[in-house]
Order: sequence, then structure tokens, then C-alpha cells
Amino acid sequence: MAALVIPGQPLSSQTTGATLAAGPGTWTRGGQVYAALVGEVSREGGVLSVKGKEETQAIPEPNAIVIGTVSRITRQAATLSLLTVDGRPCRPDFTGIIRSQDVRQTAKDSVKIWSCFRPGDVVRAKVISLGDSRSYFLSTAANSLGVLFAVSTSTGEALEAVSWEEMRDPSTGEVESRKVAGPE
Amino acid sequence: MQASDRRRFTAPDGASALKYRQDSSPAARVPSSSRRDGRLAAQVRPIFLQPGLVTEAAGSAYIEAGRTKVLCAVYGPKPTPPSAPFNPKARLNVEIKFAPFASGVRRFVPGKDTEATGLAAVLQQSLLPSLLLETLPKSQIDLFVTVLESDGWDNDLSIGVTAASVALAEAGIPMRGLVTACSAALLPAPNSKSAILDPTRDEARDSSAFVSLACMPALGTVTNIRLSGAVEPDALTDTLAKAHEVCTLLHGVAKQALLDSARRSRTDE
Repeated sequence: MAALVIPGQPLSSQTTGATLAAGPGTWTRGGQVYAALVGEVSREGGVLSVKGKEETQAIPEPNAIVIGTVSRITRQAATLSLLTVDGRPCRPDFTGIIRSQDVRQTAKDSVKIWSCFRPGDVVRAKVISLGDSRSYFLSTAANSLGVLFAVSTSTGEALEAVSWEEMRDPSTGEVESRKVAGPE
Repeated sequence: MQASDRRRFTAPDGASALKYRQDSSPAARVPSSSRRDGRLAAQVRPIFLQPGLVTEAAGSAYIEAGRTKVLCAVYGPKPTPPSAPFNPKARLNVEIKFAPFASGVRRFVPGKDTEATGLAAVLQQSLLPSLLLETLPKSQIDLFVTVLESDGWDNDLSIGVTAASVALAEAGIPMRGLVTACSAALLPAPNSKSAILDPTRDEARDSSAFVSLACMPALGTVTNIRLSGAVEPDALTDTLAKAHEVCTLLHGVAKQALLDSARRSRTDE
């Protein structure tokens, strides 16, 4: 069982032969690496990091993979309410925006938001920047990003994916267009 | 209050506390080194510190020191309100509330009161140097401090600083170190050289000066010093040195509480 540390506890010093770098959950002062969280120390290569509690609430950061629910769509963008960040739960009041130019890698100019997302869809996306003061900027321009779960607009049943841009209602056979997420 | 409060049950106007006849034989002030509760001059009240009691909060801590009882809860990191401008660092909001039953005199004002606002500002100043807020951009952290029982004058704030720091660490907020705080009261002229640490309300009322120190003992840095009253520089230096020693002891208590809580959560998994 790894040792538990508290914030402010020194983890190593430069007097040790190798110079250790500071990873997540640590901070440095005068060449000394200190813990910034309550958790376990781990060392991979020359990087020291402290892993905190699993259930601490995550905050979106650039290049993180998030899963959210579409709460609003406009002609230019879809607004998501974020649910998880890199597999960890996130507060639902964090919001992200998928702009129309960030939906696909190809044919960006012909993207129509209402053909890719509908309100209530569960979408996997990547955070590309902190955005503005209200929302993070997300992107689904990858094969593994897009809609994970959607319901039919007429019957309310869960749709099943049939291609990268189509989902089908299993009971009525009706096809709806989405930006479907591929396997991760 | 001119306008009656429509959000609460109305009560009789101008209510005041009952007054009792004083005992005809008040205990004479013993000038020896022992205090009213039998403590030595540099002895602190017994401490109980328990993190993680408020289940809805991201982090919480409950602390008792003698008759003082303080509860801290941390919510966040959460997004800033839409009206707030873009901020690359997290924002710390501190709110201190005294329970109506917290002190001998019942507090009738339910909303903001003048005392809690100043205490919240001092608490924020004490905690801000220890937090790594730049790792949580565009978010805010709400810290609620509730004083359930008050017996320490401004010493409630020193107890609250230690509990708030433990609550923030429990919530997983990155920080440079734990902040602990201690207060001291200096007595008037006959005992002007002696400082009593962790004073109670009665001791603080009789003192000529009151000193509060908040520091990070792990790093050897000071985050806040407050002084009210008149004190000689030599006595102040000695008092701050003694308070720093007490802060180091409190840091040990906080460390043990956090490690016990972390082990408990790991065995629960």
C-alpha cells in the first residue's frame, strides 16, 4: 500500500541523485517537490505525482474527453451540459458548446447542427479550449466522438446506430441523422 | 427593525434576554499562573477534529476546542455564474454564519451581520496563500463556516481557519500546505509579560491585547497576523513564537485527521 501524503509534505529533494519532475497533484518550490493533495504518491520514470480521491469532482480541462447531454441547439452551435470528465463525474452546471465548424473533420461548411445533434442526446466530445466565461469549447471532429445515445423524436425509443451519420428506430425502422460516435 | 421580516414567523418586538442576580461572592481573580479552567498559560483547549461529516459537501470538517464548535463545508469546484467575467483562476467565496444559539446573547438578525463579514474577509486572507487556484480555471469554490457554539471571541476564527483548511484538503482542492491558526491574549499591567494562548471569551475580554497568527507550519510561512490593543514589541515576539508552536501542534492534529479520513475512505472502497 502506497504512502499517504497531505498537502505541503515534501516528496523528494534535489539532494537525491536524480532530479525528479513534478507531475499532477504536486508543486515545486526551490527545487523541492511538495504534495498538493491528500492521496498516494506514485513515481513513473522521473515524474512524481499524487493521486487524490476518486470521487472528487472533476473540472473540464483542455484535451479531456467529456460526456454530456445536449440541452440546447441553435443554427451555429449545440450546448451541452457536461456529465463526466475523463470518466469522473462532473457537476451538471458546467456547460460546453460544440460549434458547427467543430462537428466534423470533413465538409465543415455544409454541417447542419440539427442533422447532427438533437436536445437530449448523450454526446462524447473533446475539450479544445477553455472557451469564454460561460462555456467550454468542445469538438466532435474524430471518429470516436459524437452521439452515444439518442431517442426517437416520434416514439421515444432508444435509437441504434447504423452508420456514422444515421441512427434507426428499432420498432418503426425510421432513420434519423446524427453525428454518430464510433468505437473508442 | 423597521419593516417586519415577512419570510419568517413574527416574534414579539424588543425581546431581551433574562437577567439573573449576580452571586454576591464573585470569585477573586487569582493572579497565579493557573487560569480559570485550570490550564497553564501556553496550554490550548482540548481539540476534536473530524473531516467528512457533511455528506452533500465535497469536503467538510467539524472542530471543537473547549466549548467552541465550528462546522465547515466546501462546495466546488463549480462553474462561476454566467455574469462573472472570464477568470483563469478559481475564486474562493467565504461565508461565516453564527447560529442563533451560538453565544450567550441570542442573535436575532438572520441575514448578514457586520461581525461575520469582517471575519469572512480575514478567513479568506488566511486561506488564499495556501491554495493553488490556478489549477482550477473558470471555477469557484464556496466555503461555508457555521459557528455552532462560540466561546473564543475572535478565537472562533482561528479555530475556523484550521477546520476550513482541512475541509478544503478533504475536497481535493490543490493547496501548498495546511493552514493552522492560533490566538493569544495579553493580560494588563500586573501580568503584562505573560501571554495566554487559546483564550476563552472571559479571558479575551479582560486582556489588553489580542493577537492572531495563521501560518503553514509545513512550509514555515505565515499567512495572516492580526493584532488589536497595545503590546510591547518583546512581548509580541514571544507571543508569536508561542503561537507558532501551537500552530505546529495543530498541524499534527489536522494531518492525523486527514490521514485517518483517507484511510477510512480507502477501506470503504
